[in-house]
This record gives sequence, structure tokens and C-alpha cells, in this order.
Amino acid sequence: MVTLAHAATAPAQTLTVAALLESTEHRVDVGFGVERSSGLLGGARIGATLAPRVHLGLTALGGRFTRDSSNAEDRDVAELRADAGYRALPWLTFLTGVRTRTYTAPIARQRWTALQIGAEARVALLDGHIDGVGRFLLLPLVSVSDLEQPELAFTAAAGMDYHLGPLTVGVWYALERYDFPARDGVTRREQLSGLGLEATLQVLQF
Amino acid sequence: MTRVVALAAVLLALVAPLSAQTGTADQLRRARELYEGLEFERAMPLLRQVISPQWPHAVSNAERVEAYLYLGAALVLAGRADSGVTYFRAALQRDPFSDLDAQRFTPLQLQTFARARRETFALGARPVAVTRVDPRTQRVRFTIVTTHDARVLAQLRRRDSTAVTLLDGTVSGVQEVAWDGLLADGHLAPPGRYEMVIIGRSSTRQQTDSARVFFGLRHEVEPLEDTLPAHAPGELLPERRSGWSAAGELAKGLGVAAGVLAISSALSSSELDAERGPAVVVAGAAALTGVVAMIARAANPVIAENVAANQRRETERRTQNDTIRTRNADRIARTVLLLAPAAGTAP
Repeated sequence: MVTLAHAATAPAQTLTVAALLESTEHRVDVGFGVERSSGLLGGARIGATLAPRVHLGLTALGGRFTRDSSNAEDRDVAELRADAGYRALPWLTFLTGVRTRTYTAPIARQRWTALQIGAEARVALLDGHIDGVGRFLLLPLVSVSDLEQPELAFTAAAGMDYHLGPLTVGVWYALERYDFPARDGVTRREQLSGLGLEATLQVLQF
Repeated sequence: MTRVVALAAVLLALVAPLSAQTGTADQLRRARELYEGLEFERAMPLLRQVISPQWPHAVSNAERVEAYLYLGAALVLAGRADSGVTYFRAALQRDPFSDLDAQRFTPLQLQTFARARRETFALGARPVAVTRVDPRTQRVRFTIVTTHDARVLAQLRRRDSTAVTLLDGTVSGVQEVAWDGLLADGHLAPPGRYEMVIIGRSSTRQQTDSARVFFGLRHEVEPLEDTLPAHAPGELLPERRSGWSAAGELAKGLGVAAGVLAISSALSSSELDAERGPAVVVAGAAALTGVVAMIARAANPVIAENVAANQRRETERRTQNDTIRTRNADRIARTVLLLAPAAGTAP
């Protein structure tokens, strides 16, 4: 559920499109044991570097989680994410953005909306043909249908980007964690984790 | 008292040469006045005194030549043309440029002088005057003379035996010889000391003669620019990576792998736990990438960007040096030659 969205590797004004595939596991504990479900999410992203240091991006993902434990249920997942980044240093980019995700089950629909703030660091291997990437984003404002604001919410990811001319292939591991305040002695915890693949193509440079 | 005597001695020392010069000049002046007053018999003894070895005063070559000329002219007017020829020849031998002014001497004197020219073979060259010559538009001009028709070779010579032939032909009387300032190889004559030698053979008398003048040559040229020196090793970017560079690549890959594992373990909820499989896959990919990068770096430590940047700098330096050389060549092409007379017996 977190993509390493190539914060600002392109030095000029560029337009990129990307295809994403995520194998995600969702775990939630609301006091009745851990509910586990998982599934493949596919999506696309469009990104633009508007200035040498600033980029914008829009990502859409969709898929279905099927239950891996008897206490879970199948759900459709749809997510839309808008983000912006400022490359303060060649290896460091500050990020912000908003995301909204919808879980749709046969009997209910739940919407998650969050503001994210964080940073991404890159280390270049082989003169920049490969990047090692790490990202951490806090979610200070999270709105969840029928739930309180979580006490702790963040996403973290790390992986590699392989640059092949205009094409960049990324592979990463991502973790998204939410700890809600206790209610009636029960603490709700949710976590998504998984492996992601992304192929990004630079389609325009101007 | 001692000071007065010393001052008088100094004054006498200064006046003595002056009076010697004045003595010859006065004698010549009196002789000319007598000659022009048609008192030849009184003029001739004065002139003979000047050319006599017993004459106590210094006599310059010009004064001696003048005395010979007036003696010859007086003897011609006295009806002793043969004797006149002898003195005219003596004047020509000392100064081949000697001549009689047609406005001041009679046709008989001129004819006699011409006979002396025919019977004497001598050649000469005027000393080089201080001259400034732009070789692009001007020529250095030397004046030579022969007393009568002669085959003449005029050459410029340097200490290194470089020779430029300025004239190889027949000369009769005064002639100017021009030099374009170039050596035989077409290059501008370098600064230094030069000798102009003229060698002549009479066309009528089977006699040869030679003369030479020395001069110094300098170049007047705008200051030239220095070309840029070659880059010192410290000024260029390193073109090869150190041995630690390969290890650094591995460290980066392992660092990313560690980060992945840290996220999946330290940051995940202990209550929920998390599937480790994806994290291990990504961490393995990162570590493998680090190993491959290390091997690739070790196999090819050359920094291609730096090599290209160094080559660009070297190309820029050569281009700038070519420009400087072009400017310098333009300045050298505008070189002006400065000639000045020089003393000596060899170039």
C-alpha cells in the first residue's frame, strides 16, 4: 500500500507513467484475534517533475483481499493517492500527500483518508544505475469511517530501483501500521505489509 | 693654489684634442678658401701638410679624402692631370663614395676624376643607419658603390653562417640593395648581429675588392601570451576509483537489505506480527544487488564521467592554446625590425 514513487530522480521536467503490482497482506485485530486477508493490487501512476527539485504524482490502485483466516472476510480495495515531493539534497526528498482508500465488503464500506508527511532517502549504486531507497511517512491526520483517529500511523518502505534508460523497475517491501486508542479495554490494530513491483516509463522530457 | 693648478691641467687636457681637430679643420678651410680664390699654388702646400705623416693633428678619413680631392683638383687646374689622377685615386681608395660636385668643379676635373674611377677599383657600403622597418610594407635599404663596372655579390651573414644573397649582378657607381627582412628559408630574420659583405670583381681591371658593414637587428613585437600549461595531476578529476569503492557498493546493498528487515521486524506490530517472506525476498534482492555492484565496480574501476570531463578540459586547454598561438602568430607577423650600426670584425 506504499509505493516508492521515484521521488525526484529525474533532473529535468519529465512526465512518467507507471504500472504497479502489490502483493499485500492485511492484518487487523479488534479484540477477537488477528484477522488475516491478502491479495494482489494493481494500479497505475502518473508523475511529473515540474521543476528540477519538485515532483507531483497521482496513483490509483485496486484489487481484492481474500480472507486467510476464518474470522476475516473478503473485501474489495480501491485507493487513490496524490503526493508531492521536494528534493532538498541529491539523496534526500521531503514528501507530503493525501490518500484515500475504500474497503468494500458485502455488508459494509469503510473509507480511510490520511495526510502523509515524511522523507525518502536514496543511495546510488553503480553511478546511479541502481538506487537503494528507503522511505518513512508519518500519517498525522487519519480519518476512518466509524473509528477514532489512530494514536500511531505510519508507512515505511525500502527497496531497489533499477534504471534501464527511460525505464525504471522497482522492487520494495512496505509496511503500513495503525494503532488506535483503546476503547472498552480493546486496542484496534491494523497493518498492511507486502512486496511491490513497479515499472516506470519516462514518456516525456521537456 | 694646488686646486688652481689641477683645474688648469684638466682644462688643458680637454682643450688639447679640440685644438687638434680644429687644426686640421682650419687648415682645410684655409686651403679651400685659397683654392676657391684660384690660389692653387698656395693651397696645395696646406693640403699636402694635412696628408703628410708629419702633420701633428688628428685627421679623420673624411678630412684626408677631402684633402686628396682638393689636391687632385688643384693639380688638374695646374695642368698636372696625371698627378691629379693619383690623388683622386687615393681619395677613391679611401672612400669609394668620393665624388666631385659637377656644379663646383670644371669639366676637365670631372673627366680626370672619371679617369681615376676607371683606373681604380674599389667598392664600399654605407654604414647602416638607425632604421625602423615594417617588413610587411617596407624594405631595409643598403647603399653600395663601385668605382666602375663590376660583378658584385652582396650577402647578409649571421654568426651561425646563415647567408642571404641580396645581390648577384653588375653594379656601376652607387646602388641601393633592398632586403625584405627574411632569411633564405622565408622566415623573419631573428634578432642578432649581422654582417653585410660585398665582394666585387672589376669588369675591366681583373681586380677584386670587398667591403662589409655590421649592424645589429632587433625585433619590436607586442608581448606574446603564454600558453596554458598542461594540467597538473592534482587539477584533474580522479579517473579510477579506490579499492574501497567496490566495498562501498556492497555496503549500500547490505544497508538496504538491513533496512527492509528492520521495517518488517522492528516497525511491525508485535501483536499482529507480519509475514516475513516478502521482506526476505526484497532484502535478498538488495543484498544480491550489492554483491553484483561490488563485482562490477571491482572489474571496472574507471570513472567514465571523470575521464570524459578530463578529456573535455584537455580539449578546452588545447583550443585555448591554439587561439593564443594564433594571436601570437598575428603579433609576430606584425614584427618591426630595428636596425642599428654595430662595430666589429665578425658577425
